[in-house]
Formats: sequence, structure tokens, C-alpha cells
Amino acid sequence: MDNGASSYRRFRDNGDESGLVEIIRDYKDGLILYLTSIVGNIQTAEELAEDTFVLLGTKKPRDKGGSSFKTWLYTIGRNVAIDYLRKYRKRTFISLDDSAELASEEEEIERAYIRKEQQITVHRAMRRLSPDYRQVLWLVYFEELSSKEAARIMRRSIRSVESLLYRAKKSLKAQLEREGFDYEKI
Amino acid sequence: MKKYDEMARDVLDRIGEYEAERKLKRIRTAKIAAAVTPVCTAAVVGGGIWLSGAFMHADKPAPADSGIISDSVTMTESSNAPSESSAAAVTEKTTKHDEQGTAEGTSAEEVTSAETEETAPSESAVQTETAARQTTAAAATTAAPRTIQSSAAEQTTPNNGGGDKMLWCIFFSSIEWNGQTYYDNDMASIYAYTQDSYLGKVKDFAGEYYDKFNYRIAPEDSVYTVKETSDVLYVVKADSNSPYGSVVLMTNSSWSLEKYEPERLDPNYIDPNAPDEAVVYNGCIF
Repeated sequence: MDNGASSYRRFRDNGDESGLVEIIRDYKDGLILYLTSIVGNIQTAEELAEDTFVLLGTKKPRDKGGSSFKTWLYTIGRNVAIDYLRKYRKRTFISLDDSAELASEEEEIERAYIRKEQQITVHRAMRRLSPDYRQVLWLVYFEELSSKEAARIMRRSIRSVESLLYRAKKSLKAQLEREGFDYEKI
Repeated sequence: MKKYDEMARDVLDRIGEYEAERKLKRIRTAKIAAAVTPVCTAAVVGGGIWLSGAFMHADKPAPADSGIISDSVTMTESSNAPSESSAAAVTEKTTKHDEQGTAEGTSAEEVTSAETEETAPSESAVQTETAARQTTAAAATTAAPRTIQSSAAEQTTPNNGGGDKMLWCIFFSSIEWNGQTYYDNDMASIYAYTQDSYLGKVKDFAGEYYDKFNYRIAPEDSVYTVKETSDVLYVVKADSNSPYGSVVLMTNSSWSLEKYEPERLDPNYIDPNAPDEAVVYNGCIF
């Protein structure tokens, strides 16, 4: 995904707003779904994704290199989400009506971003897992990032991420079997 | 759920707002800095000049505990014709000094200074010193607008000495006696106290005094106790031409102005017209 890096450079160095618009177009859905795995709420995740893009536009941070643009962007998004959780952890309440609406929004974005029916089933099963499991599974299986890149985003060691991934898979398997799916076939 | 173009528009709007706010903040900061910088610069320069001693007229800075007096002295000289009352007062004072001189064996200088006072024109010619005093010394809390009770003849010729005699920046003088600090106090009237035992020369005491016009007492002046109280010391000036008169009273922090003669600020004065003190007996006031 070098496109993201070149678009960002265009925006940062030349003030070309279309560069930022391209980044938003390419990374918005993936970032929202990733942030949903952290905050557990797609609406909040959308706001945080927007905050992440605003942060890119205002502070114009420099990518230090060593990883892809996507990894870097997701790292920023994760930091924004963690700041949010620190600030508002105790205040997050969702009414039942909102919850139904949010679920439908998440399905919509799932269909748009994930496309494959089997993966959508897995993604829904992931909702019942812990945030760390959701994050690592999302990064490795849906975003197809390596353990190293996932470790960079999650600020963990590679070994820790691999161990987390192993436990997450185990937990996902149990969850899918509970819901009547055959994990091996998926 | 927003479409990417909606989100892009929102993001660009927020970036625009942020930039505008930052620009506004920068302008505001620049304005404040432009307003504050000259004031700060002036304060720093003023402080530097003040600390460098450019405003100090004395060649030695005032001691920290005695406080610096910045007086604006208005010197007025009245006609040479003394009024009857002032003449009487001068006569009384001279008589008193003569008596004391005889009794205590006062030096010729003291007699001379007493005689000099006879030439004082009138009370209205007495120097009035409009003093706005600022002092940090605790003992100086009794300080107030002063009246220098010396003759106009003496005060109109204070500048017959060297360059530093031109100065009217008066510092507090002090001497230490019996573990207490006595400061010069011209609120205390010399008529209210009677000269008693001779203690020694001023130079025999620790304290702040110099042979300069900025100080009311000089090392060669003589120090006496007074009969009425131990809170007051009676300093007889050796210099008969001193603008501070022949006698300077020094008081410690226990001295206070509890009773005043109207218009003369005379301590220990008992007003004969004042009603007798109320007597309380069995809860009734008589």
C-alpha cells in the first residue's frame, strides 16, 4: 500500500487536499473496523477514525519509516482510541435502540469491506471475544498484516503477539463451535 | 455511517477550523507580547538603575533595618517677628535648658544651642516637614508626619558644609541600650521629658549614626536618660548649629503616643478639660 504514503506526502508537502481524500477513501473502512475491535462500538470507532484523519491533517506527523503506511496509520488510530478510552471509559453507555442501529451499521460496513460471507461470519463471532483477541485477529486475518506489523501497531513484542494470536484463535474456535459453525471449514 | 466523501469533507472542515484558530491564537499572542514587552523592559531597566544605586543620594546606602526615608521637605520661613506665645515657649524652653545645664553641668555647646533657640522667630516658623514616610523597620511603626522643632534660623542654614550637607534625605538613627533599640522620634516632645543621668557619648553605643546631615544624631552627641520613663533617651546635640535642634529624643518600641496635647502631639499630656475617668462600682458607672 505505497499509494497511501505517496498520497500523504502530496498532502503534507504540497498541501494537496486530494491526497488526504484518497487516504480517507482507501483506509476509512478498515480503520473503523479495527477501531471497533478496540472500543467495541462502531459509531465511536467512526468518530475516532475521523479524529485520526484530522490529526494527520493538523499535526502532519512524519512517518519514521520501517513500516508500511497502513501500519503507521493504524498505530495512530490505536493511540487515538486508547486516549479516548482513558478519557471516557466510564461514560460509555449505549441504549438498546442504539445498539440495534449500530449492529446494522456494522453489518453494512462488514459487507462493504470484508465481502466474503465466511469472513463476515468469523468477524461476527469475534465480537464476543476480548478486545485484544479481536485486535490481533483483525490485523492478522482481515488486514493480512504480518505478526511483526501487528506487534508494531499493538505496541507489543512479536512473541507476545504470536502467543496472543494463538489464544485468540482457540477462543474464536470455541465461539464458532458454540454458534454451530465448523471452524475447520471456515 | 458516513461515506468517504462526507468524512473527507468533515475532516477538511475541521482542519480548516483548526488552522484558523491557530492563526488567531498566534495573532493574539503577538499582540500580548507587543503590549507586555515594553512594560517588562521598562521594569527591568528601572530595576537595574534602582539597584545600581543611581537614585541613592547618600554615599552609603541606608541600613536595611532602619528604613529609607524619602521626604519632601517644605521649608517655610515666616516673618522675623515672633508671636507672644512662641516667645513664651522659647523662654520656657531656654529656662529649662539653663536649669538642666546648671544641674548636670552641661557643656558650653549645649548652653549655646539653647541660647540659639532664643532667636527662633515663632512657632509658625517652625519647620513643617510634609513627610510621606515609607519604612520597613518594625520600630518605625510609630513614625508619622513630623514636625521639626528647631528654629528657622537654624534650619535655613543647613547648607554651610560640604556637598553632602545639601542632602535632605534623612535616615533613621538608632542606638542600642539595655538590649533595646532606640530610634530618633520627633513625635515625642522634648518638653514632656526631664533630662536625667548622663549615659555617655553616642559613639559609646552600638547603632546607626553618622556625622552627617542625613542622620539626626552624631557620634559626639551626649546621651541621657529621662526621669519619666526608660522608653526615652535624651540626646543633646554637640553641634549647636544642627538643623535638628539641640535635643533629639530617641524612643524604643514600647513608647507610644497615648495622650496628645491638642495640636502639639505632646505625649503624657493630660487634658484638664477632659471628663474624669468613669468609675464602675457594683455594675454602675459613676
